[in-house]
Amino acid sequence: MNFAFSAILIIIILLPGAAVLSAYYGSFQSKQSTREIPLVDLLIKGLLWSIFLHTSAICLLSFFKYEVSFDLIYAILTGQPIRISNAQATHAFRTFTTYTGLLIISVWVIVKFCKRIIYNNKFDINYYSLRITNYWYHIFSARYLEGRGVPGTLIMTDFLFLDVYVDTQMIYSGFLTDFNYSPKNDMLENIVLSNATIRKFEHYSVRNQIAGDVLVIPMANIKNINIYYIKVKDNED
Amino acid sequence: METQFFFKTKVTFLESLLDFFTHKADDHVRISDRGRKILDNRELATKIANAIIKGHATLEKGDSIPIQGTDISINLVTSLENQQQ
Repeated sequence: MNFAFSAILIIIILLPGAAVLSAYYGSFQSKQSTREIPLVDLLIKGLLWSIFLHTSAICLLSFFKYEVSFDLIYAILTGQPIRISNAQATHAFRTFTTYTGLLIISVWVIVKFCKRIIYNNKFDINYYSLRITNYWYHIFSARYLEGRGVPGTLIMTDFLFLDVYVDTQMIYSGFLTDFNYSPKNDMLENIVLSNATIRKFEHYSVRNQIAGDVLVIPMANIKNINIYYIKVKDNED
Repeated sequence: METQFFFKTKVTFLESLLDFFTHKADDHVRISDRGRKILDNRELATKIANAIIKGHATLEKGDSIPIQGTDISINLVTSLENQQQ
């Protein structure tokens, strides 16, 4: 029982570090999110962040003459016999949960704020370690064009036109209108084209218009994708 | 009326705040306002699609392709090929 309780306590202590990584790399928008990181990995990878955050938080609290009593936690983790009253236990529990909860919330908000600054200033495009979106979002949102040494810009692009080569040796062409990405499997699930046409690989000019508003192509059938970033301009420009 | 205004303002503010922290973006796929208008016009979109397919080589060279029957032309911003991951 003590062992299980100690394990839960360790997880709670490591949660702020995991919150940093989760807030930075994760997103509520699955199309933007990077690969989903399992909780155990988050806890291990966020270990150094947790130590840093707890140290900073304790220093900050002591500056304002507050303190969190860690003696009870230490006693539980080391398996020492504990004899305290209900009032003491309640107080210790309340201060510890408040401290951890506030730390996690503040860290989450700060990281989201930093993430927004990084995104707006496009630092994530040129520095791979700061990458906060998945590869396909990077390409399909045309943020790829904002990278150093890449010709063109996002603002110049009006839409994307795709040639999609599938395993039946056919090429589907059309305007990209949407895509679905699975953060859990870290893969593109499907792409959605409008005004789609189909043609055989060998007969490039012979093509057929596909009826319907949009065409959904599962990624499992796709061999490769050729992407055109298209700009429309008036003839008198 | 005032209550409704207050409620709407508050919801908008909360939505904006949530959008800020959830890092919401409206365009997961790049389509500009002009691009959206063009794609909504199925006939024009078909003409452009045909022009891109027919003018593949011209696009690769970076030349403009005029769209017949309209006063617009298209350019290739850049292109890339991606192998499936």
